[in-house]
Amino acid sequence: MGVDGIAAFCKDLNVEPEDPVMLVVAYLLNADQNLEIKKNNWISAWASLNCSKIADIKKTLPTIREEYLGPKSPNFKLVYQFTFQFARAENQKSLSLDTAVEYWRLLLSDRFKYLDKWIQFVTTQHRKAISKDTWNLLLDFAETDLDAYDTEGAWPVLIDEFVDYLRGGA
Amino acid sequence: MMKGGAMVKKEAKMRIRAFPMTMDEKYVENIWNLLKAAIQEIQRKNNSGLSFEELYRNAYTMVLHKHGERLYSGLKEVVTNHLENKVRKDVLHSLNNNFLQTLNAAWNDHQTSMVMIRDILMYMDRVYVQQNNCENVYNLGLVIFRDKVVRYGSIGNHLRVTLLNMIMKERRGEIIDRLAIKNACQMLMMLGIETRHVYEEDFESHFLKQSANFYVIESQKFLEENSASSYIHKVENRINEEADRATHYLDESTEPRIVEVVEEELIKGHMKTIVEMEGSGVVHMLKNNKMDDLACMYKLFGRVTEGHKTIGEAVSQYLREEGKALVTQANDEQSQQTNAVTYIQNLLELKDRFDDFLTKSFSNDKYFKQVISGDFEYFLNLNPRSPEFLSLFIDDKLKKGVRGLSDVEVESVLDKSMILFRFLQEKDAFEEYYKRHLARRLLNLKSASDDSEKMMISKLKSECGCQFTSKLEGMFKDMTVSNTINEEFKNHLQNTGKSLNGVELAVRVLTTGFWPGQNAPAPIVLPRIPNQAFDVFKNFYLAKHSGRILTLQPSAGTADLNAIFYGNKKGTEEEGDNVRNVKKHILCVNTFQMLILLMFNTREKLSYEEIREETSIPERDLTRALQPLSVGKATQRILSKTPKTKEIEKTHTFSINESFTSAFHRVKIQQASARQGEAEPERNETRRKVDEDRKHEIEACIVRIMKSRRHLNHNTLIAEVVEQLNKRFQPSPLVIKKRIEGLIEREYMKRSDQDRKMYIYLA
Repeated sequence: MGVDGIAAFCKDLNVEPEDPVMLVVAYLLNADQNLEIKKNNWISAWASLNCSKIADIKKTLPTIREEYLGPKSPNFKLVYQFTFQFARAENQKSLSLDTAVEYWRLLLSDRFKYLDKWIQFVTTQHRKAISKDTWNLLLDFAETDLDAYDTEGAWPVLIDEFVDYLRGGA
Repeated sequence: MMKGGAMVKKEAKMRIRAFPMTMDEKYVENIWNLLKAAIQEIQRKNNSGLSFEELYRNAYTMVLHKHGERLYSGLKEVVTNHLENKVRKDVLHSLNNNFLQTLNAAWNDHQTSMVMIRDILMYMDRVYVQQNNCENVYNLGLVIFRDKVVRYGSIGNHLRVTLLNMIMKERRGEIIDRLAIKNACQMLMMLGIETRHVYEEDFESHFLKQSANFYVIESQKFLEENSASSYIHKVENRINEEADRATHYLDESTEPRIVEVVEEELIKGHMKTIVEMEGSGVVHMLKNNKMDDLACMYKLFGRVTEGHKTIGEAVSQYLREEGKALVTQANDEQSQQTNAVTYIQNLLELKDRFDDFLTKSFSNDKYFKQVISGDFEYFLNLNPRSPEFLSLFIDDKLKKGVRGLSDVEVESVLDKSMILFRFLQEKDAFEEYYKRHLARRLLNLKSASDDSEKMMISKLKSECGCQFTSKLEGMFKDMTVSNTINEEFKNHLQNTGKSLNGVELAVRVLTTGFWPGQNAPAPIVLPRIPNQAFDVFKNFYLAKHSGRILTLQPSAGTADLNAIFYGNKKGTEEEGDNVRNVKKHILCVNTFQMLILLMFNTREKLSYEEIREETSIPERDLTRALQPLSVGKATQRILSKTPKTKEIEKTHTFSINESFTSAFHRVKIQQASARQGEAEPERNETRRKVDEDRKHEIEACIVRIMKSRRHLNHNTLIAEVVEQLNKRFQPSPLVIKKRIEGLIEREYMKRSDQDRKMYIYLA
């Protein structure tokens, strides 16, 4: 199934393509960047969710939403980390900054209270692509208390710099 | 022998009487009275008429018949009586007149009489006393004497006061009766009965307290009036005096105690004040090289804890200031070579100075040695150019033309340099600089002696291991091999009859990995003849060593050119023939300059742009090559430049300066950066290379550690990396972190899923 198929699929489900739940779907289907989905994956994924018709899928959507995107869901991490290689262009090791910012807005708006400052920081000070390590650990960072932040800890350098940025009030 | 009156009269008939098994009261009473009288006589010093045997027997009898207690308590009573009513009275009378002597006499008498009394009552000592666990006769006497006489209210006080006053007087310089005090102290010691309690309580504790007070006051006075060194001498004197006092007439055991008091009051309480005294304290002593004073202070302060530490801190502070001053002044761009040499020279002198202090004043104390080393390490690394300077210094010593130092002297200077080297934290930067300077020396044939060079390298090797020096040794080898190649080339030319068109070629073949800074140089266009000569060599070499590639390094080569200067046209047409001063010279230039000058064989005038186009020499090198030739010293100006400004611009033109003169036939053109230091860009280059190398070393280290440990947490990893690399340089945790991230990116390792702080090695 290609891009158009996905678009149609979304329409059937009454879901916007930009809805984060589509990311979950992509994750479950193991889609790659180009949204190329193998038929086998398609079948096995929906089968594991007990869906055989579009209607079923529609019904299961809220559950999926809850399971994967809910604030306390442990699976969110998986989706979030998956998003990195999903959003990455081919042949690139890092994620371009603009794309990263977009996806961050999509996924982290309710989870990361410093999101805006973060975006401001990376777009003005860093301005380079984002590495996988930094991407992954940003989620951890979002979940840690700023006061408990350990500068000697194993955080990526960019996040260290961000904390300085926050603290220096720059 | 006088017979006692209470003897039982025998019957006329001689009968061996059975020993009375029981005694009646009266009998006992009689015996006791007999003994009592005897004791009293003894106390009155009238013992000569007494029968020892008789008295002993009577005492024996009493004890045997179980009347020991009566005897004992009776004895007690008699002695107490005598001491209270006679002896004490006498002593009290003498309170203001010969007190000590009287007391001493009474004591002696008491001792003597108690000995005799003890002898008489020895059986009681052996039997009754043992059985009843009470004091033996002699000790009993001591106790009574102590309690009834010595410790009797006014006597006790007066004794103490008298003794203390006398000592005070002596401290003030008066003469006193030492013997009297000695006797009194001995008495007190003995009254303690195998302990020193009496002496301590009645005398020593008060003595120590009084002394402490005395010295508190004295120390204040001394400090106000004296400089540090005279204060110290005064303290030493006082200590000796007190020790003396203790040994001579107090009890010996008091010596350490009183000395401690003096140390406490005169030294410990005022250590900082003494050390920091304006104009005479430690700093003053160091500045003025007062070795002896420092030695005295060291010795004195060694007596108290923290004494040396206090001195050490002052020394350290001073040394750090001095070092810092030396280190921060040498940042002038000009005349770098002199700067480097003086910089290091000054540091070496400073080190020598303090080593002197160490031996002469601090008796090579390990603590002070550490302090000095720590300080040197501190300020040496304050200046980031220290590694460079040290290398330049050594460079200077190893070059030709150094004012005839003998081999031994050279070695000793190098040894001292090694000491400084050990203090460097950025040893890898030093290595880089050393390589460059060595390369320059070798290529320009400036080494004074191969042996000295090799000696330096072996010193570095034993300090840092082979890895450090393998490249340096490689450079040497290249030089030797090159010489051989040149010989063989000469033979080759002879044998094959090839000609180089009058060019004498000497080639040095450098192995790329060993020599610094040689990356692919910009290819320049050689003039025809040198080019051909080089090709001949190239073919010759590659025939011998196929599979290798030779690249010409124009920045490192030199050329000797024969030059003819036709001189100015002198005179006017009226004078007839023009007189020309034709001069011939040999010009020693570098490769770039050779290219430029040869161009003028065919052309009169060339612009900067033209030169650049034809030779393809990069701009920077071209400017640097032209500078000494055209705008340098007059004795070097081979070329004339139009316009005659100091700067070289693209539009300027050059021509041969026909009126060039020089006193020498062979003219050596000094290079642009005349001093052997480095210009700013080169220094940056070296810095960049060092940083680059460090990145690789850190990464290699991380991988090595992770490979062997498999998984490790962040902080431990950082700590291990720092430790392993410490001998070369000191990486900051931030830099290491960046490298870790890089390695994660390249999938050499990853973070653990459970614990963000744990890293796992990916094979």
